[in-house]
Amino acid sequence: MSKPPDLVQGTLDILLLKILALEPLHGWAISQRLKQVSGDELQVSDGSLYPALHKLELGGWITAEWKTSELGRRAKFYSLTRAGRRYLDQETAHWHRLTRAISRVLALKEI
Amino acid sequence: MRRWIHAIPARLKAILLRRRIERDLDDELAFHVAMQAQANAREGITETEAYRRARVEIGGVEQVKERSRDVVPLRWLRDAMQDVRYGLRGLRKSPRFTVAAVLTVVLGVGANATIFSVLNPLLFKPLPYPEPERIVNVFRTSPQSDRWPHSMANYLDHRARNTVFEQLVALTWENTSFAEPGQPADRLFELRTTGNFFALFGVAPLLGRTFTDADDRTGAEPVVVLSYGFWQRRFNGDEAIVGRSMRLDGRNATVIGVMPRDFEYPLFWGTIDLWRPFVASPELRQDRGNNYLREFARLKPDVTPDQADAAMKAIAKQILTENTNLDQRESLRIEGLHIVNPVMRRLSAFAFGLTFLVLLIACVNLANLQLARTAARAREFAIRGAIGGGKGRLLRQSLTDSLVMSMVGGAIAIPLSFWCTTLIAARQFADLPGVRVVLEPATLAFAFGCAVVTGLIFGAVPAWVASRADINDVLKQNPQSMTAGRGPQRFRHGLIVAEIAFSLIILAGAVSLVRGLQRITAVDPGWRPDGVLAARLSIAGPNFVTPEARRAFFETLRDRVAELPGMGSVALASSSVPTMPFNSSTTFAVEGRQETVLAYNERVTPQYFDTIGIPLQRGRVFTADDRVGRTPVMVINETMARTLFPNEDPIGKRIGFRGANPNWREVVGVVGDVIFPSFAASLSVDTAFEVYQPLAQTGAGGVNILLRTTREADTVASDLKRVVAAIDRDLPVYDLVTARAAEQRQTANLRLLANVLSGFAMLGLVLAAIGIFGVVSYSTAQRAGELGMRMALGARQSVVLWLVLRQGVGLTMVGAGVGLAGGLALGRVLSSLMPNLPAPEISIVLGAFAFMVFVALAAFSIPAWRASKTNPMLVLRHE
Repeated sequence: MSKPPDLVQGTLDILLLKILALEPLHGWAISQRLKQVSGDELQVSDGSLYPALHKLELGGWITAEWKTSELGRRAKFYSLTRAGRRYLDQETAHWHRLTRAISRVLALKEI
Repeated sequence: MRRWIHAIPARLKAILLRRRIERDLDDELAFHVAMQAQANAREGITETEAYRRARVEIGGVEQVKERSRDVVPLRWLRDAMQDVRYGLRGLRKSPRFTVAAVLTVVLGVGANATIFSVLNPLLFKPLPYPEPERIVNVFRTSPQSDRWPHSMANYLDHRARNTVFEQLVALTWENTSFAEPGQPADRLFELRTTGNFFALFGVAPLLGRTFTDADDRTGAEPVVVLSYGFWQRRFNGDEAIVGRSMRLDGRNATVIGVMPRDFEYPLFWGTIDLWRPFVASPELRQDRGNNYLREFARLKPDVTPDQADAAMKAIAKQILTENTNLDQRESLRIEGLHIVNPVMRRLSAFAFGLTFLVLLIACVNLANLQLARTAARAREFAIRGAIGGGKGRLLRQSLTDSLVMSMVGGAIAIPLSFWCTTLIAARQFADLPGVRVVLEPATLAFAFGCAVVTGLIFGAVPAWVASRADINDVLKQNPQSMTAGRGPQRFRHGLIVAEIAFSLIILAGAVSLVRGLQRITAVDPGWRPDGVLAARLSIAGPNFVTPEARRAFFETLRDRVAELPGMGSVALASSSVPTMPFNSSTTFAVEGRQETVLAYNERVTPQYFDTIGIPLQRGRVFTADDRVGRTPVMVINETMARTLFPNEDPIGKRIGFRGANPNWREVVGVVGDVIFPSFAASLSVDTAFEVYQPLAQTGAGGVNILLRTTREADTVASDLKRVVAAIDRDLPVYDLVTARAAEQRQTANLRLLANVLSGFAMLGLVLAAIGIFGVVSYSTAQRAGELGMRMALGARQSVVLWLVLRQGVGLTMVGAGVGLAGGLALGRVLSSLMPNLPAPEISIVLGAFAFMVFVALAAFSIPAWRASKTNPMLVLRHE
């Protein structure tokens, strides 16, 4: 099996924001959700997950709060801020533009 | 930017509530691991295994934490503070390393910068005049000396004929009596100069004007320019002084200007109170016999000193051709204007080279200590890497360690060297107001920078290498039993060898030089300075115009002084005690011969030889009968007698001035040579021709009282002043000095230099010893495990001692051997730099060698001895 492609620089942030846009989650749940939705195509190590979350938190795009989890243990739940939502929209639009452009180029027929 | 508002609490929390953040991070990751473990447990493995896998999957809890910390703002500052704390803790934990390193910085930087600061103004500061490199001395040369002064007629010829100088100045140092009505007479130091003096030096007056060429013409109004110091001291800086009249030597002179403070340069001129124009009488302008003028010149912009030298030698030839009665071996020479003479400068440059060598030793020390330490810390770094320390972070830690060490050293060294420099400036240079011995920040910064950079390079590079090493490899090695790798060890040994060699070179060089200087100062001067006192009188004035008046004064003075209690004998002479060459020299001719000779010309009273202890060798000395009207007589010195009259009896021969009017004098006696250790000139011992004439038959302008007494100088001073005041109230008595003190004043520079050199030698030695001690004890401590193991297996203490020491003996011998060769080579260089310096004795170099070996071995054996005392059980248990 070939090695799954690395995440394009900066795309982990969008993925995390998108996941949190659906509902507030704690770190482990985020990692599970990532694996679940992207299958084996995108591999995000759990080691990269937390620094990325903390960076988003410090950037003001997400906010965190300690709540009791399903297991009854306290867990840190992250949720999107309004700035984060705007940033996600902006970045999503940007991503679409970018991928469309790349797809068009790749669709060119060789003569 | 609304998101900033959301970010604020998180950021504030990150900065202010660091503990809380850490706890949150712990909790969050623990939660993650717990959840993951729970998920893993479903696959039917043990709980422990589930947890282990969870930790592996996350990529190491500590590593994640470390990466998370990286996103926190101002992380670098917090880390830096933490690094500093670790650094300080590390220094506390290895005191031997710390003491050695900090001492190295303190001595290598602090002491070195201080010594350098003392040399700096003497060596490298140009004179405070515009374009000082164009100002030169013009000296007359003869086989006896190359620094003779000039006669007025010669000066005028030099000035008229040369095409190489912009200005050529003649000057002489004089003493002047300054008496204001109703106040005691004051003795002043003046420079009497030709009118172009200030034009040559190119410094504008602070007040009024300076001389012009019109001021030294015959019949010009007497004028005077004051020095800043004298103006402040005597007139409290009164700005209305210009135009006032001062009574100097009984005549009025108008103050026309005041020079700025920087113009005084006592190291060069001596202390100067005033400048007066030298008004030469028509007879003086024809005079080639009295040589007492110093010449200074400013080269034309496009003329090199060598060209000027050649041009002046040609002029000297012309003058000799025209004046056949002059000593035909005379010539002229140009010498750059320096504060200290060339030999002193070479010596100082040599000492300056030593400062670099000492700094080098300090740097080698730091390098070596850092290397030893880093090698020992390889395992620590590996462990820290294994538990999540980033490579950059570890590198930064070792950089910080080096910096912390340098800063601690600097914190001690910098104030200490400021303090020492101030102290030395106050002690040694207080009476030289023009010389500012200050610690230049640049000097200190340079030395400190060298130490810091060395520490950083040798701390960080190995740390970087260590951080790249495979963590597993390092951890698998048992650090306690591990001996250091071959490569780094050899490098460190090389540094120790270099250190021993360098300090032996410094030691050998300094000791040879100091011994050489001592041997020069220890030359028998040919007279007995102990118990001799001298004072000066200035009797230029209207009361002493006639020879009769002067002689009457001398006789009264001599008798009154002799009546004082405790006086052995009293004499008057034209020069003070002969710690310096006699004041004047004259060209003499021998009756019936063509050749002429230049000789010191001293005028003395009969008791002179007894008073200062010059032995009579043939004939007689003067008596009271050698007066005006009797046969003119003279006494010559041994060397002159032997050279001029090798196979004849000199007694009865006649010597006189060369020229039409010889005034023949009969030689009545031969006395021993007086030897001037002319340090100021060339570090050579100057035995010249010396002629003594009876003061009663010649007379003199200034006169010196010389006496041999059993009393303290201070009590004699007041008696002497009282006696002189009783004869003439307006006469100042000054410069009362013991011959010993005068001698010491002469050798002060040499002693300062010898002290500086000894200081360097000690510094180098101490630094090397510290370095060896530090490195060896550190690396021996690292071998404690190995040594303990050996002892546990039955090795005796002496065996362990020898094991450690053996290496030291080898290194010491190699280092000292290299140093010995270097020291001998340095001795060669020294002899070629200063041919007059006695050659370094081989025994001294060997002594330095033995001393260095002893010090090095001591530095090796203390840690070795300590290692042999280790309790093997403790070491093994530690393992």
